[in-house]
Amino acid sequence: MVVTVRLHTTLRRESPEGVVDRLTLDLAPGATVQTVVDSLGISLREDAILLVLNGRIADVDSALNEGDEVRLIPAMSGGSWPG
Amino acid sequence: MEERVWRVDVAKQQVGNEPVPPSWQRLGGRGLIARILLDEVPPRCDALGPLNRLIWAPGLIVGHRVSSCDRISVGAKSPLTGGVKESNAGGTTGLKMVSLGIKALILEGDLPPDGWWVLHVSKTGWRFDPGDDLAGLGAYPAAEKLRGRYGDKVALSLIGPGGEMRLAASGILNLDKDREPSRINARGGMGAVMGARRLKAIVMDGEGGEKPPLVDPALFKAGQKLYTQAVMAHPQTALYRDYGTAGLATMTHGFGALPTRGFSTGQFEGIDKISGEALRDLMLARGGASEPSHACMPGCVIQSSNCFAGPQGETIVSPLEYETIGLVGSNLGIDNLDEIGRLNWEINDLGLDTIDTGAALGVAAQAGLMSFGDAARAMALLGEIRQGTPLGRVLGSGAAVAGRVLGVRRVPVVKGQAMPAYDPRGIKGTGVTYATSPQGADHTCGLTIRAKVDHLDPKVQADLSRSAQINMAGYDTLGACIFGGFGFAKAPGAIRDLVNGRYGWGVGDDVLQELGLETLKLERAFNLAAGFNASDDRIPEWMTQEPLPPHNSVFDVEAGDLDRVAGWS
Repeated sequence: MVVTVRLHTTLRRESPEGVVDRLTLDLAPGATVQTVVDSLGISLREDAILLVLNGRIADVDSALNEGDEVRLIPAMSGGSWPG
Repeated sequence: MEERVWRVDVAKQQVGNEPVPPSWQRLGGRGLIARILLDEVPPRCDALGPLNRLIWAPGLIVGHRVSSCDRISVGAKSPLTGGVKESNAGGTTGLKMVSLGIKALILEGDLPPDGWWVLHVSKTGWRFDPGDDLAGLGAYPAAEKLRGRYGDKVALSLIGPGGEMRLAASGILNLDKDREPSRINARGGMGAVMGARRLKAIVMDGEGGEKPPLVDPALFKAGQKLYTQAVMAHPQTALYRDYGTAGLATMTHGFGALPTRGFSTGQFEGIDKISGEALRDLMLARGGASEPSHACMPGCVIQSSNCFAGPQGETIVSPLEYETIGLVGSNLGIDNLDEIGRLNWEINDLGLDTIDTGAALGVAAQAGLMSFGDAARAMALLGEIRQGTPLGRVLGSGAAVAGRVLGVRRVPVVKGQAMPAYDPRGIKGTGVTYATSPQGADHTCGLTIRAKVDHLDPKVQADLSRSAQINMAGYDTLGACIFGGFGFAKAPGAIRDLVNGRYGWGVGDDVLQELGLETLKLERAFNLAAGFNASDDRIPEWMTQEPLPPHNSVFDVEAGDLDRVAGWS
């Protein structure tokens, strides 16, 4: 199945073709958000990265379906809880 | 130097000072403003009349260049909301005021009949200088003229034409470390209260001033070190340094809560042109005056501010922040950062709040006075404000007044103050904050977008908002920036040590929450006495009925939850 991945702010990557902030991944059935994170080699530091599936907060175990959009968002805003 | 309370009467051309009353001593910034308003201002008075007071109050730990902790609060009964108001800003005003031993400066007394005045304050005294030659000048040229007259080392608080016209969306502008009047007490119409007293500017000359005394310097330094290390190590510091608040645009868009075309949808098709990522790329490509990382206060290690320059490297505006990108960009359907930046500069020069002005322009677009996406027409409407035409004055009075006059129902306000750039139907915890904050809808009173919760679930938002609001009221009382909060969250005990090192009060680990809750209770008491009731603690009805794409959600947090939070018991 094919999912779209959006990489926000500091998770964007430099490449010879320029900055990469979106990509599509073809994943095997049963893939989860963790599969996306692993395939990109991103280390999830505490809750400093928000995992967002189709516009809603998700967690690493959230199952993916064809056409889903996953956003990896370094958490920001002046919220005042730890993180 | 002993801290004093200064009282300024423009009509009598008198300035006096007095010892700090005991019940004011352990408060600063936002909390002190609430206390003074309750003690001295009749809650039902005319906000632009002689019984109101306009109060400058630095936060409790201002004065020692602790990173992001030198903010200046300005407050009064608000002509916009009719209730308690505090709006804080960075820049140099707080530092200079504290160095002169000013715990609070209170503008009071009768309304002068005519003329414009500049108050000059220094270690050796005070004087009123004529300011008629500054009347009508925009904030940028007025600040330049004042710097020429009083030197480059002074701090300034001044108003633009909006404040002179006593428009309810007008703010008070302070100099940043580069001497530009870009640090703005923008919200709630504080500029109008200053304009009503015919004071164009306050000049604070810190020559000969000194840092406030420390009861236990070693303890203070230990707290400062702990906090600074935590800020420096925090991933959000690098994030804010590189992307600034503008980085929030894709995040809010991703959650489907980015105000777009008059708060009619939560995602903007032009997001990739106005995002924080696009802004950074543009600044790096253009060079010249562009700076993706910029400190708004001396000594700040986060440097979330920026300077945005055009293709030839010339400054368009500094800073360009997320709330402006949201309200003046996507909310108006404008997908061009240069145009947003020029509108931002113009609104600053008028001395107005970009949030309320942007929301008012969104209302004007709904009324057919401009097309969404037409930046030239938006600029022309700002021109109406500068000329002081009836339409201009309506728009400069903010979104609530604009909605009433123009017959528009979909107005994004609470307690008369425009919502910042998070649609409460998409980020419902922030909606609880808009509804229940004594300040009205405000971007600094307790955002929840960063929380790891389902932002669409109405049942989990109340406690989240309450906790965020209490913490923010605490930070606003200390003089700490909203972004210092993530450092303090990782440095338990730092606030306690800073307060005890400065004052020796023996406060405990909960000092932030104690200050915050005390502040909110004072503010609530003022609003109740001013005539507010539960119907004021609500999101506008249309947002509870009209679904917001893409999630097609309405604001549906239960009234009982809102009342529980708003009571601050």
